[in-house]
Order: sequence, then structure tokens, then C-alpha cells
Amino acid sequence: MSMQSQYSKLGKGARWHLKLDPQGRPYFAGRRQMTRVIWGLIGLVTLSSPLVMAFVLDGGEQIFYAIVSVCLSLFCLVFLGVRQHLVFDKEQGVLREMRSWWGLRAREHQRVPLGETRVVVAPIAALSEGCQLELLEHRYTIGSAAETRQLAALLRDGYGVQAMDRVAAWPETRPLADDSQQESEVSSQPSQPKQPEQEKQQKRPQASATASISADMRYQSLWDQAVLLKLAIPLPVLALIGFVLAWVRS
Amino acid sequence: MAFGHWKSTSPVRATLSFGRWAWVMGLPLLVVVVPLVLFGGLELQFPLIMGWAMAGTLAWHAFFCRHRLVVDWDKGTLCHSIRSIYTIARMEVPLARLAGFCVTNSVTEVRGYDLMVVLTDGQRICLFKRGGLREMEERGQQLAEFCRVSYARECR
Repeated sequence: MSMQSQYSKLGKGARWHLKLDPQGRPYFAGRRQMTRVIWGLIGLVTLSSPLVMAFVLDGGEQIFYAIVSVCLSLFCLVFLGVRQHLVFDKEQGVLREMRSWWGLRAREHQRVPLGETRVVVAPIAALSEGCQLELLEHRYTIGSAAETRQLAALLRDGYGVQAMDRVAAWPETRPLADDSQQESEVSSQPSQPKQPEQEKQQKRPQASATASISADMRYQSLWDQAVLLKLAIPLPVLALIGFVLAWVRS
Repeated sequence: MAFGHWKSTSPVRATLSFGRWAWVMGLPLLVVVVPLVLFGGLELQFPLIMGWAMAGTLAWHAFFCRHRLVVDWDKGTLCHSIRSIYTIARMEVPLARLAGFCVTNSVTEVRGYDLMVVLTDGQRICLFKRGGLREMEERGQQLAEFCRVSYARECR
């Protein structure tokens, strides 16, 4: 299967982060590019008001705002142009970090052999669901665990990087299981767990009995349960009692 | 010193409770609320009655509100609840489904850390929000030890 057809099967989050360059090689945009471009966008928003002022006002104020907007647009030009691409180069078997500015001054900043590169399917711990792909020091929010695993499997099968999984047996990082092998691995896991896990299993016999009842239930955190609204329940009740008491008195 | 009050009387049950001293705040409120009813100070004025009701609500919660996290091996559950005579919020997870506890960066606060519980299917539930790193770590390790699961830090 060609890279193009495999690429089109990926999830939306994966296609947002993993792009194909004109030669058909996939690349990720680096962390440096993302933060610089965001600064550039913030600069663009700030630029809008001095730009309007430079046209609307006249005299010394116009000159002041013209100078400000020129400085800001230079800032935006510099920051929006930063490019840092992590290119998966299959021919040379390396992950290349390319840096450039609006495509100019392109140079290779770093190269890592693909076999030594690790992509890790990791949970986004602060959210109740959702996974990210970790590559070197970069992180990419991909979507569900299945979509992230699909992307990691594509990179492993097509480019020979080491695909790891920290979601399946959190907090351990294990090699990513194949889709076809996943079911058999799940069934074989209880027979050969690591030593500390086995102890844990033995320590809690009653707990495992209750687990089968609610195998895939979703739980809602306390703080998503409209706590403040429910705390206010006595208020209307007490207000009503107050009105009745005052009315009876008068 | 970590937040909350940890109490474990037996090896199968531990409680982490919050707001144990809130009733102290309820006492002065009671001084305002009760005499108004008893001695007829409550006149038919909207602001007065609403103020009285607000003070009454605050006093109610100061005396009765219980926020606690209970780990019970007999029932086999981790129960996080807020009650104030009636149930305000409640979440109960079977202990067998826990994969571990982790401390992570808060989404909304730069130097805030959240304590999350991770389930075996990858689901994460927030237990405590926006605390200091050290106190969150301490509580997380304590809870993980009592629940016999792993603890990890998932910080950026």
C-alpha cells in the first residue's frame, strides 16, 4: 500500500499534524515552529489596531502609529516564517530536523536514525480522554487512543521507528501491539504478568468480582456535576420559609 | 503537609476528608440567622429575607457539608463524594478498575497541578484540582499505596 492511501485513512487529528511534503515524505511541524507561529498570530491581532489608526488619524499621531505598525509587521514577518520540520526520510533511514525561514535558508539542524527514534502513544493526563503522540521532545494531540495507535503503527511499519504504548498498561511503556495481535495479547496477559502485578492481583480478590459488572462504564468527575448549582438548593427553600415567617408576623 | 485530613483506622478503609473546621465559620452565622427568626426581626422586605436566606444557606453548608474521599476494600470501591444531608455530587469507582494515580499540569492554571485517577481502560478522572505539586504528589503516593496501584507523574 502506498503512503498516500495509508495517509488518507488516518484520523483527522493525525492528518492535521502529519503532513506530506512535495516528495511524498511525511513530516511533523516542530515545537519551535508552533510556538513562534502562535506568537506571530498574536502579533497579527495586535497589529490590526495600529494599522487602522495609521490610516484614520493624521499629523504626529499618524506617524507614531505608522512606526508602530511597521515594527509590529516586521515582528509578525519574522515569527510567522519560522519553519521546523521533522521529516521522515526513508531513503537515508533518518529522521531529519529541517529548519528554515519562509522556505529560505533551509538547513538540516539534526538527524536521528529512524531505528533509534521512539514514538510513544501517551495519554493527555489532564483530560478525561484523548491521546498524544510523543516524538523526541515534541508532542502532538492526535485524538482517541485508536487513532493515535493507528498513526504510530503507520510510522513503525512504513519507516521503522520504535512505536511504544503508554495507554494500554499505564504507567508502563510497552511496545505497541499490532491490531491483529492485540486481542490475543489481551487474552494472554493475565497468564504472564510481571511479578509485582501478580502480587497486586492476588491482594485484591473481592475487588475483581465487582469489576466485571461495570466493564466499560464512563465516570464523571465530581467537578463536572454542577456542584455550585446543587449547593444553592437550600437558598430558595430558606427564602420561601423566610417570606412565610415574615408574612405570618406582619 | 498535604491538604485534607487522612484517616485510616483499619487496613481496609481510609478516609480523606475536607472542611473539618468549617463549622467554626457557621457559629457566627448562626448568631445572625437564629435570633432574626426567634425575636421577630424578620420583616417583609426582600433584601432582608434574601440576606437571611443566604446566611442560612452558608450556615447550613458550614455545619453539614462533607467532602470526602473514601477507599473501602470491603466494598471494593473508591468513593469521592460531597454531601450536605442531601447528596451534592458522588462518584464511585471499583478498585479493580484503577490503574493508578497521577499528577499532571492543570489545564487552566499555569502553576497548578491536578490529581487524577487513571482507570485500566485509559479513562482519567479528576479528583483534586489546582493544587501545589508537592502536596498533590504526597496525596497521590499515599492514595496509590493504600489502593495498591502505581503512582506516576505525567507533567509537561
